[in-house]
Amino acid sequence: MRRRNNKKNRFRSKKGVFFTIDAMIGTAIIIASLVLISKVYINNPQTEVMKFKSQDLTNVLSNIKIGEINNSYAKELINEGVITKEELNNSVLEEIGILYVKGYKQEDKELIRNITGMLNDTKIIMMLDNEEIFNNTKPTNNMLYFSRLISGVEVGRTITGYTAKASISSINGKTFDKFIFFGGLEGQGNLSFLINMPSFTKVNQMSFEFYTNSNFSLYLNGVKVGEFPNSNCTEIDNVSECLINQSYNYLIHEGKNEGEIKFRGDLNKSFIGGGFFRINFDTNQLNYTSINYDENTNTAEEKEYLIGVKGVINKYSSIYVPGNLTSMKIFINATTSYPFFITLGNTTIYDGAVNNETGNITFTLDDTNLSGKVNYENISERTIPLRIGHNTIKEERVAGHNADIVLITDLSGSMKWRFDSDDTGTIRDCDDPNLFSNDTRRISVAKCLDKQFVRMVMNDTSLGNRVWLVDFNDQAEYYYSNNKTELIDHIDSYPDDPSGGTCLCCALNEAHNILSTYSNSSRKKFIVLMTDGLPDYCCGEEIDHCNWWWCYYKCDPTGTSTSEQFYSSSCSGGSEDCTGTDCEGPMNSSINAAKRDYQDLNTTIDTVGFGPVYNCSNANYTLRTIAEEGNGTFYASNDPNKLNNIYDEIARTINEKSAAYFNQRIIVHNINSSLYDNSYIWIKFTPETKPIVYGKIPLSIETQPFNNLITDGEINIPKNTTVTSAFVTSYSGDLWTSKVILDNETVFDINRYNNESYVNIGDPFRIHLPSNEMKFGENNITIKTSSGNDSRGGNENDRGIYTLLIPNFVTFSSVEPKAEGCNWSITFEDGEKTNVIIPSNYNGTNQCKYKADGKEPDCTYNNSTYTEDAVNKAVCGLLSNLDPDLNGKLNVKINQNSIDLNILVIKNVPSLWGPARIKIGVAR
Amino acid sequence: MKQTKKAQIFSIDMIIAVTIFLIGLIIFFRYGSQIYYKNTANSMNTEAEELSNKIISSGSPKNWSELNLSNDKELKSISAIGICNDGTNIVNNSKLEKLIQLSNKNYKELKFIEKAKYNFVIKLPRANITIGDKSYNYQEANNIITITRIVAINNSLEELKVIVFN
Repeated sequence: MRRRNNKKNRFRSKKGVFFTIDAMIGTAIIIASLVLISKVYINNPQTEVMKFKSQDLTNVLSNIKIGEINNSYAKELINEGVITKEELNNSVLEEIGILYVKGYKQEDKELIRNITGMLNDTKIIMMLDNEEIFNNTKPTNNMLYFSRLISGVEVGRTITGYTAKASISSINGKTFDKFIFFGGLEGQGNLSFLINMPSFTKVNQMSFEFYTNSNFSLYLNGVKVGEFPNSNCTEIDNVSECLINQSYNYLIHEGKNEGEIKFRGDLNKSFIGGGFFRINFDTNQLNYTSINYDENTNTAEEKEYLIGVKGVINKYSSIYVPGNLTSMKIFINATTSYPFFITLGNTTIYDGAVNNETGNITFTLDDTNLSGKVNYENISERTIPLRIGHNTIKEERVAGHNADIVLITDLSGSMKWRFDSDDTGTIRDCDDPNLFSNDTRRISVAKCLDKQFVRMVMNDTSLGNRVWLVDFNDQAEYYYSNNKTELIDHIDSYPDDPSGGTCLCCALNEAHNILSTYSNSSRKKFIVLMTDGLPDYCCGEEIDHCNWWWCYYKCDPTGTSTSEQFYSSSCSGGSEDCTGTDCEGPMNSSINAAKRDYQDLNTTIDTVGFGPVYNCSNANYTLRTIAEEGNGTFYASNDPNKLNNIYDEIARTINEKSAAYFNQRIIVHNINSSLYDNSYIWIKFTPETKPIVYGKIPLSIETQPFNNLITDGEINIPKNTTVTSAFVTSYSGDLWTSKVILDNETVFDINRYNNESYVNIGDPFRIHLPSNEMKFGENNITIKTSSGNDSRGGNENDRGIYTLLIPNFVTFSSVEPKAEGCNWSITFEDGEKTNVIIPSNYNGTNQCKYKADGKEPDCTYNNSTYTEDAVNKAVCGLLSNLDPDLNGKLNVKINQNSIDLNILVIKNVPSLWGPARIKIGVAR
Repeated sequence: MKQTKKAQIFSIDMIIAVTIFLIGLIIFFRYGSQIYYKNTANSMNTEAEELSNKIISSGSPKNWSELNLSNDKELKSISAIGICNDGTNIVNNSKLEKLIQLSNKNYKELKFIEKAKYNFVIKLPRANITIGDKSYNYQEANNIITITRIVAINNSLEELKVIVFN
């Protein structure tokens, strides 16, 4: 309390002085603050803006010519030739880039330093693409960059040099193929064909690829050139490819040539089932192609001569119009004893039966006759089946069969006995007039009937059947061949003195093994079982009962063995067992085996009882029951003549049941007809692709065989080429080519014409592929064949054949430092090798070789793949054009004397490299 | 009791008031003046850039140097004066000479043609050329903006400075 009062007194006494001092101090502070703040915060802006410098510098250097710049160092470089006269018109910026890529890097830096040195310590960095070519400072974030493109400059490449282009205006020759195609079936009889050869310089090789069932002699212009097929032919999947001796090449001349095929077999086998006769020749006609084309009207004409036939006309073929059909003519020259018809697709365009036309027949069907029957639009750009043949009324048509037959023959001891007793019979041959006497040995008759049976089920009109031979006594054995003669030979080898028991179940079990192994569900299965007695063996055994020292066995009638497993002394198989139950086990074993054959495999079993079986109750019962279980027929007789008829009947029945389809061949009866090879089909059309184009060379190319049975294949179309025609070949054998698919698109389907029976529809061997749908690279092909009610693959020999237009020039090469030339080593498609000096006045030592790896040309220059020669690069490009399949072999022949190779070389060409980006950075 | 407290309150108020006042002054000078000067600098900078672009161009019309500059009508037809060949940064000597003449003769007219609000000087230091307002030493001006461009005169690189001041 006291202290407060003291303090109060002190304030009171100093009050006025304190205020005055505060005010003065405050005012002073305010004034000082004002002065300080105004000094600190009020600045006059004095700014220098440098941001335009990089842009301006780039602009100036782009606009001053190096030859005009007022710079002593630049003049020095010009005088020294570092900057060439040709470069004087370049801008400074271009020259900076050029000097750098030319390797004058130090001079380049000095030039930039000299030129920009006038710019008062301006900090500069200059870049060419990503390479720094000059700096007088370190790059910082404070740099401002501006860039400009300069053309003709690329780091590491030449600035100017040479470029060359090459073209061919004439050739020494090109390899071409003249084909004579045979339809799906050309027959039946001797064949003839016309070969209309263009002007050519040389025939390289003649060859013949074909499918046939018979040997023939080939004549060219009346001279026999060989027998075919021969040991020099290559056979793949029943198709023969034969080279004709080159000593006969002289026979071929320009214009019409005639080929003849004279078969040595019978008429029924005389046919060619697809194929082609090919003449590989050299021509010096650059634009040669097989089509007669008029460029002015863009129309083309083709006359295709038909394959001539002397025998009976039976032709399955096709035609193709490679464009829009505008006119058509069919000329036929024939003689016949029976009317024939012509169908195009499913349209009958001629039917001789209407007026029963026979004798000499010559007629022409032109637009007047044809346009009313055939829609030209519908047959344009499409493969159309062509059929010429006789109505089937007088034909026996060859059928395709699908029977798998097991023919079982009893070779037990009793088979050497006579038919009418248990005495040994007489061995007789099949041509013995007493063969069917009762005293003939049963085995002699059985062997003859077996052979007769085989002949019937494997005759020429029943193709496709297969026969296995099974013989048995105590056990069963089998033999198989697809060759009828070999089967008959095997039957002949059966012993005339057979021996052993009658293990019937062994034979039936063997048949089960065969059919389950080799047959399939699409084929019909038959067993023909003959025996002369009771079965006396079981195919299985089991324990009957045992006592303390021994076990007794009995027949297991479910056994599946092919050799006897159980024998009971009480069953001897003799006449005493014809009644009673002594042979019950073997009988049931046989019946069970038959059941298994039928139930497992759906096998029809026919049984034939020889001799005493007829009168033997148990044997009779066994064979009848086997036939019943096998859904077949039981036959028995002790009369060999009747047995002969029985075998005939069984064979005929099997043939009837197994006939799956008809094929193209016929068995000829009393028809004699000829179609002459001057018959032709002429077409006029607007081609889908121009076959001749200026600056391009037509070449025919052939693929390798597709080599599979699906059949799938590929056609590879090279880049820079044009496909003018393309087709695949299809060997369909006795069947029809039914479908061809190009990259998932069906280009041929025989069902378009008739999907029930193909008998009166042609069968194309050549199926055309729309050229305008062929693309560069892989084109996938699928070929299917059919008998009419199935779908199958094709032949391993099917392949693609096409015509390409290849460019006969190459445009300017890249710019290279040199344009000299080379001595080229070249291989042609026929294997011939040559050396060509290009250009012809080149006298250096360079050695070059044209090669290709199937995908890219792979030229070598003095054993290196790198060259700096513009001429050589152009030539490599040109040669690769002449090798469209890039196999390293040229399809067009060139040589030193005849080639007219235009090499155009241009010097001092600014390179087209770049553009390069030149970037100038200036510090702000 | 009442008198004693009055003096104490005054002293504290005083300190607070001075502090607030000073803060206000700082804010005023810091930002208010900056806005003013920034606006000025921006305006000058824009003008300097435009002026430099015009000088670097070939002018409008492109043949302005061929006009009779003594003729008032022809003089007024000029909307921009540039001394380079179009888009090249290369100085056209005849245009340069015309510009020098015009500047020496009538700077105000030049300023008018170039639509300049501020005074300016154009310098080509290596060529020792100065164009523009020579009546005043621009280095003493409160605000100076300099734009440096690069041109070529007589095939030699040269810096061209456009200096705008007030």
